[in-house]
Amino acid sequence: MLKYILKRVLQFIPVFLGVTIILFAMENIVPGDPIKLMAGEKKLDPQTEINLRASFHLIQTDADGNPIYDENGDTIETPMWERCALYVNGLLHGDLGISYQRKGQAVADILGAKYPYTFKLAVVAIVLEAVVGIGAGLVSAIKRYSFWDVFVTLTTSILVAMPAFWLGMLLQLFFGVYLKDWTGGAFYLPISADFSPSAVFDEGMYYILPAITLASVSTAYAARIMRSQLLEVMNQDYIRTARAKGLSGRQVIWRHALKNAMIPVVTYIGNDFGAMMAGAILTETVFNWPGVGYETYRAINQRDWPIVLGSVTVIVILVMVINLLVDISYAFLDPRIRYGAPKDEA
Amino acid sequence: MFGKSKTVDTSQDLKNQPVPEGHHLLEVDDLKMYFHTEDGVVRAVDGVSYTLDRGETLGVVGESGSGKSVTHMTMMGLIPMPPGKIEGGSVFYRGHDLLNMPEAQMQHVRGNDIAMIFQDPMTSLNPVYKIGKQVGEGLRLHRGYSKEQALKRAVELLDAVGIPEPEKRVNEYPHQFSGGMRQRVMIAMALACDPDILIADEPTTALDVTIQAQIIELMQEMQEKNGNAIVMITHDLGVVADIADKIMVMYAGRPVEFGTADEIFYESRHPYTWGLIRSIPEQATDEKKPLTPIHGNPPALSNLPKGCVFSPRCPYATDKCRAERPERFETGTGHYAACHYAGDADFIKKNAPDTSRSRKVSVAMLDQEETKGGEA
Repeated sequence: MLKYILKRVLQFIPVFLGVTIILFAMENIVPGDPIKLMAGEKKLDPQTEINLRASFHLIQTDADGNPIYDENGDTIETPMWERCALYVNGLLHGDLGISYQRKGQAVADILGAKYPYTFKLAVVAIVLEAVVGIGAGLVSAIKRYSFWDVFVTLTTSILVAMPAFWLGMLLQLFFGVYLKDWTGGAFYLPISADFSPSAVFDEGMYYILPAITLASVSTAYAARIMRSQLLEVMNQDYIRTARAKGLSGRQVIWRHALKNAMIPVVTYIGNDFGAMMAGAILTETVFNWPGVGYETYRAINQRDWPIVLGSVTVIVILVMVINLLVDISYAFLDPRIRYGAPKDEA
Repeated sequence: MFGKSKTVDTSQDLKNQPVPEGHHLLEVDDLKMYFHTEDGVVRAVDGVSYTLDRGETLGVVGESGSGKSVTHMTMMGLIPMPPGKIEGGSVFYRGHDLLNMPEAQMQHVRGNDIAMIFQDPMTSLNPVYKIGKQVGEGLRLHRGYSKEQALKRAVELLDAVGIPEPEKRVNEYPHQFSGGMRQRVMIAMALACDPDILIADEPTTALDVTIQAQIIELMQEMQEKNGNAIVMITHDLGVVADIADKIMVMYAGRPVEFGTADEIFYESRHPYTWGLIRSIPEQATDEKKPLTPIHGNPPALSNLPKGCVFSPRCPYATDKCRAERPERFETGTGHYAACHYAGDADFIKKNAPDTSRSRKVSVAMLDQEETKGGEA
């Protein structure tokens, strides 16, 4: 097992390097100069612009950080690979760089302030997904072809087909506008930076609609996987054995079928949590959620590359770690993997 | 599961009640179970009758799809209804009607009074639970054993079925066992509650030939110890030859012949039984004799031929066979055959296989005559 984990962690390195290189390449392709954007409509003083570029290592500098000029008196642009190497070097020292647009704030600090919101939203969404998805899947499998089965199948089809941001807008419209008398229009309001202690309950309320929006598609998938898995497991020989032993239908499902059927569902939900931690750009944007997704969206618009790079780096690492944890948990659910792994890996 | 042990009154178990006067341990009478599907009615079980007593072994023989397993799954209440539907007949166990028993009571019969072993030991055990838990589960359910008691008994049971190091093995998972060992586990599991009847559904089909004999022997051994009855379902007449007291031959959902093992092997009266006997490979013959197969395939149960179901494949079929469903010909000893010509002594003498006594006599006489002729 340890060997397996080590192997997986080593696999992080090429994935991570590949993502970084792709991002640097995109930075060069996407139009728009972040330094020019810093000044907005105004024109930058040429010397200030050169100094700014030098401070972000966009042009070659000497040891003291002064720009180097070529024989024509022009600055020399730092090649992409060199900036990439600089970035990775900084990263290895725990430095994610400095934001272009946010007045010299460290990217790590900016993301650090955003991540709690993304994390809390992801937790609420994943709980919702697990409870509703597994529950609905169970009901529709156990009561196959009943009204509830048809209801779940229909609803999940609609949810899968529905873009999350549109669902978010519909929810805002319904709760915030049509039910304004009841909700005070507050259901969809973004989280304000300062919560007063008396607003603890209200804070929880703000999570509901974004969490529903974020979880909608994957909840529908989770329900469908649960349904098909349980139906498949119920056809297995060991279920017949359990019934022949004298267990009741309910005991057969809870004791023998569920654990087997849950394995793929748990994997799906676990990996989905990884995806949610990546920050749901659409959901967070629609709800003005002060999380990583919204921050990344904003940073892309402003060509604030250090933030984009930083957040993607953190996302890549988080997703890889969560996927690894899910794979390890798989082994605890399924003894065949637990005991088979060392042999298969060799 | 239940936390602690609880006292369960086992004296109320059906297996601990006497068989009523004039009844057998198990009486199946004209059992009919049809599946109602989109493609029409599938007559999966069509008039099965037999009786079984304690300590006896019944062999149920037939090709795949002949209804051997479905018959017994029906008796155990393991067929989902719908699509299945009981169309007639009865099953009495110690005088109790199994077909009309409430589900809760039936659950107590399953695994406790009547236990079942299935064909494929590789898939019949739950892959995510330890062997000990699975073997002991019935005891916890039917006897109210605690977790510890059930595990302790599971160790004893595994030991009894010849699994080495049972203390260690109870904590292992099914995938850590070989096929033969898993079938031993299945037997231990089935015998955990000392059932009255053990239904073994092709217990050796999925196993290595060398393991097959061991498993059969084990089942016989356990039968001698416990006195339970065995229903051995198989497609191999050879498997039941040595161990069965009675044999029922099934074809297309119908029993075509029923009798003692002796009667089936030496006095059989149905051409299908003859076909099965002729397809057993003979050992210890010097000459290479080709096997005599039964040509063709069994009919689709949703589209049975008119008259005798075996008539399309029967080498002796007449127009009568193709038009009328044959009545059972009963010899009076309980032996019956569903063939129009089962009572025709000449027909049987002429066509029965070499093993048949009626045939043997004549062959022996011929041999003698030949020898005499040679000497003369």
